[in-house]
Amino acid sequence: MTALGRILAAAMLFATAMGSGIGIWIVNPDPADPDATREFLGMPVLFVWGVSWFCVQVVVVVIAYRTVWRKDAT
Amino acid sequence: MNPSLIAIGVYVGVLIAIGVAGMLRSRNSEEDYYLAGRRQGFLTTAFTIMATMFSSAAVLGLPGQVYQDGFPFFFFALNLPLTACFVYLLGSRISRIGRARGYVTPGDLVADYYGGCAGVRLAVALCGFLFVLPYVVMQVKAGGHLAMTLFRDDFDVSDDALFDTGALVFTGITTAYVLLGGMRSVAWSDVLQGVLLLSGMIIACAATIAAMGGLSAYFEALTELPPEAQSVPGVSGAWTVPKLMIFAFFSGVASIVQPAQWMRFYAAKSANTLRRTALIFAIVLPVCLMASMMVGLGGRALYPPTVEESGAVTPHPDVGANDQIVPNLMREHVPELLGPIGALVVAFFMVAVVAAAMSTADSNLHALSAVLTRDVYDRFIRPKASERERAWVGRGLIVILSLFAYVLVRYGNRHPDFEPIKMIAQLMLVAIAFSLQLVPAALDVLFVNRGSGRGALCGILSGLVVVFLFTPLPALFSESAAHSLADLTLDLKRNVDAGFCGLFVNVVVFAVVSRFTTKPAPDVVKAFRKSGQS
Repeated sequence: MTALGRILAAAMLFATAMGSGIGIWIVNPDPADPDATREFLGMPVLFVWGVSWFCVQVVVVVIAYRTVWRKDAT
Repeated sequence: MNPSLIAIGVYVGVLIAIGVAGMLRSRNSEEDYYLAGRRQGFLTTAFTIMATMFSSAAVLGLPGQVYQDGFPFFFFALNLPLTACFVYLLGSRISRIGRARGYVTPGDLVADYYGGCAGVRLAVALCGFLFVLPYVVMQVKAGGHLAMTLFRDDFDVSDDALFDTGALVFTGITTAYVLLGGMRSVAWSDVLQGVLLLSGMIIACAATIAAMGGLSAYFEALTELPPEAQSVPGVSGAWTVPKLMIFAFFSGVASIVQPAQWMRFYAAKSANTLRRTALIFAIVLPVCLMASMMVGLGGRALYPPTVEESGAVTPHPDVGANDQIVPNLMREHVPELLGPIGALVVAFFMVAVVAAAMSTADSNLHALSAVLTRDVYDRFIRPKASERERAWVGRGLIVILSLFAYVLVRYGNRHPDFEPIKMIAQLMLVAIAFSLQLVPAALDVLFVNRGSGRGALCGILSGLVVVFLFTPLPALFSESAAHSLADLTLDLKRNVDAGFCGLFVNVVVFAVVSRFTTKPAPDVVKAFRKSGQS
């Protein structure tokens, strides 16, 4: 695997862990806390968090498609 | 006449026409029936892989889960870009090896690598069977539910009769076009079904947002959901962060090694086809799945469920069952929003839901017939059967499996306490947990090359047993034992997924047994590596 391939693999795993894994703890509002931040830019904070990391994942896939995933002779 | 009935009638007519067209183009060979001659192009491959993945669970089950629990299950959509990477990484290698060596089923590849080990072939077939059966059952069940939701006002019969008829008609039509044209018909119909279901989800999301007064009002309503619904682990407390993360990492690869997808990798024209498919998959599928879940979230704001003190969530009386939130929302709000066009939009959406269920059921039935014919009948029952005989046995199996799924669904409908067939999303999770047990052996064959056949066999079987103990299935054999097991596994289930527990045991057993047993010869490993990379 090339160096770029390794970086992209790490970025994808990191984005998945942040988006739908341990990263949720950073923004997860406590239901018992009335002052917890539940919205960001008028949207639920968890929604914004998930969609943002999804965008990162898509960027990683597009870069991998253009650079690392090789074309075969058909 | 109900416009949905007309729309579904037209749709079914087109499907049968596709089945006949597939039959006319087919050559009378096993490779053609199961893999469409290994000549599937990029668009067909992309749509058939996406439509097979996007089942009634995505259209009914997952929005239902979001409706019940709030935001946590929304994060499930984020495993799809990672799954797209597996489509390329695993898929392209499976495609190259399969083409070079003439494989048809997953068992062909895995068992051949491990020296033709019969036990490994059977274990791989069992993994496939345990994934496919719940998946087909949930699609047939969705067919019954849809008939009830759609035609309750049009026919003067009981709900049970409507459910049974809907499930039976659904089973009959799906079976018919799979029988007619094999993989070619399945893949062509998947293109139509893929376009329908993906656009159907976007339309449903747009309609929900419009019904709630626009995007700002939609998000405002979401921010006013109860605090538990806006945080992890959700209203029922079932989706803890570790569980979500484990699920995001492993469910994608589990869905990719199931027989129907694996055979689509063999059927692709080249590895390039899968490279382009992966890109489309990473972008289109998550957007549509998020749209589907946004409908569930909107439904939660419009029809709030009741949360009991025990934590149990009861759907709003107008919704009926969690799985029905999307069709009910469409039926209630779209006609009043769009007037006469609304009825047509609802009809289009209902066809999309039927398409989602059919596209998964047909692919899985077709794949399971290949697995049972090639890996069981051909190897252990009639090793000298001709290709023609095997093709007919495969068709017979499709009929038997379809009827078996229908009988299970009918029984489940009459016996609401029959645990194994309750909520659609739960069935999906069980199927994925079983499929996950094939991953260590698949990765070893394709990339790692350090395991032995006996290691793979022991690993798969131990993983399957662990998953079985975590599901409601032991209740089929002993109620008391099932209760004891449920107590034992309760804490583990709260934080991790059943599939992951099985995977952990599977990997440990695989590694330990492989350490002390004979591995494939170096020349076999070298030949596989060469096939996979060339």
